[in-house]
Amino acid sequence: MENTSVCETESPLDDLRVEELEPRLEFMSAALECGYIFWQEGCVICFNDSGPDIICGSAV
Amino acid sequence: MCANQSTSTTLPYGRATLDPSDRQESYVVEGRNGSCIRLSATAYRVLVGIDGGATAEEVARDLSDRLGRAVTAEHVEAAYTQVRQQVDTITERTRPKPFGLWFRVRLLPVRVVDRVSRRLSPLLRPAVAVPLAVLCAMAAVYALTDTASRAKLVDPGGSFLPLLGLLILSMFAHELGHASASSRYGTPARDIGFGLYLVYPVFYNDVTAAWRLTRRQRVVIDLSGIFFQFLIAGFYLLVFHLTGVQAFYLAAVSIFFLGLIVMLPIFKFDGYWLLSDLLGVPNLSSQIRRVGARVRDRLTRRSAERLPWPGWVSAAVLAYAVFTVVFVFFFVLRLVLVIPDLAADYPARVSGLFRDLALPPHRPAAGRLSSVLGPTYILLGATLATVTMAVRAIRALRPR
Repeated sequence: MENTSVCETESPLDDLRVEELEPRLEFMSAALECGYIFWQEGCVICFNDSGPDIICGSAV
Repeated sequence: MCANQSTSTTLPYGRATLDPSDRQESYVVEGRNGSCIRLSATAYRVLVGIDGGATAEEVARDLSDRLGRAVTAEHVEAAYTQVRQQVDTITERTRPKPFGLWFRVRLLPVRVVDRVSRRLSPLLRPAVAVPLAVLCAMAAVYALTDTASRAKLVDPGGSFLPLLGLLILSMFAHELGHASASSRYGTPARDIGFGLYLVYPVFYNDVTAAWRLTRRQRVVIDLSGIFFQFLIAGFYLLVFHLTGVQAFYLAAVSIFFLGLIVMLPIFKFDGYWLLSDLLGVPNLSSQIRRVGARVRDRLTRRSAERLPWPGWVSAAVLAYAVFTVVFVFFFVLRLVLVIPDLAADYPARVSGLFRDLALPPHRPAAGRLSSVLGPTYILLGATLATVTMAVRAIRALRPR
């Protein structure tokens, strides 16, 4: 992505940076990490390898 | 897309704007292929001066005055050749897609996104957005700390499809939030689509044109997705309290929880762009190498490249780099450990789904769909990642 260079040292034009900016794609997913924030109530909401699901009770 | 199609057709780049993200004076020009190119002030004046019809002598005089040192026409000509060559290289190739976006499908065309986002953009007026954001925050705190409602929940395997539907609806709202903010600031709305990013099925909105905006405006764009999605979550919570339908409660809690997760500046989710814009450091992920080289040079007492940011920004980029490296290490490690088991179980999971569909009552058993969908995108993402990296390695090793 970065494509930076400078002129020869004798040139007074010593900052000739040219840089391609990365494409901005704003992503959103329902399948991020597994959350254990509800663990104390015996439930977790899991977005892990089984998709978004809630698991309660002895399975936790 | 960054390109402005209304500008001159003879040059490989279009409109230029002052880049507000950099603490040094620099400019963003828009490549004809949709790329955004950032130029230092000197590179910009050389390029635009010569391409604009000025002679090398005229540009040299202008730069001598600005820089306070003697610049000759020969210096300008050499600099122009160098800068123009780099700009041509960027504008003549296919615009790169983000690493890890293995495929994407457009769901809402630009015309529809533009029309809808214009209508929704008044929600982002401060007088409207601030009270709504406070309400959203209160709803999120309530939902995430409401132990009484969660204690009544039973295993809702059958809620998976309704939950997924409600989450998908909220993710559309999320992307429309980004598009609405982009539209509010006058940058063109782009399509909304679906794709596979790393191992995550994702919705996306292309807001590359936001590079033309100020950092503050870009921060608003970054936050607008989660703002719109939290509005939907608040609505779901209200519906749950009115109807008692559990899927709405699960969806609301899931959205609030996801809102916290996507603010982590990992990969290219919202938190990444937010951190990049708050720090004023574009191409944040590729700066890791630069900061690392600086630290190495300082430790080995070699002359180090001077970073263009204040010390605290460099420290923040370094902290981000350490966090990212550790996170990605464990992310990959976890995938490597889980993939063999997933691959071994996968045929049984899929055949179970087909058996459910073939036999009465011809619908998936509770938890069946989720047990197939998750492994599908993980295995697909891992396969595509392996193939992509193998192809890159082969190309890199091929003699030139």
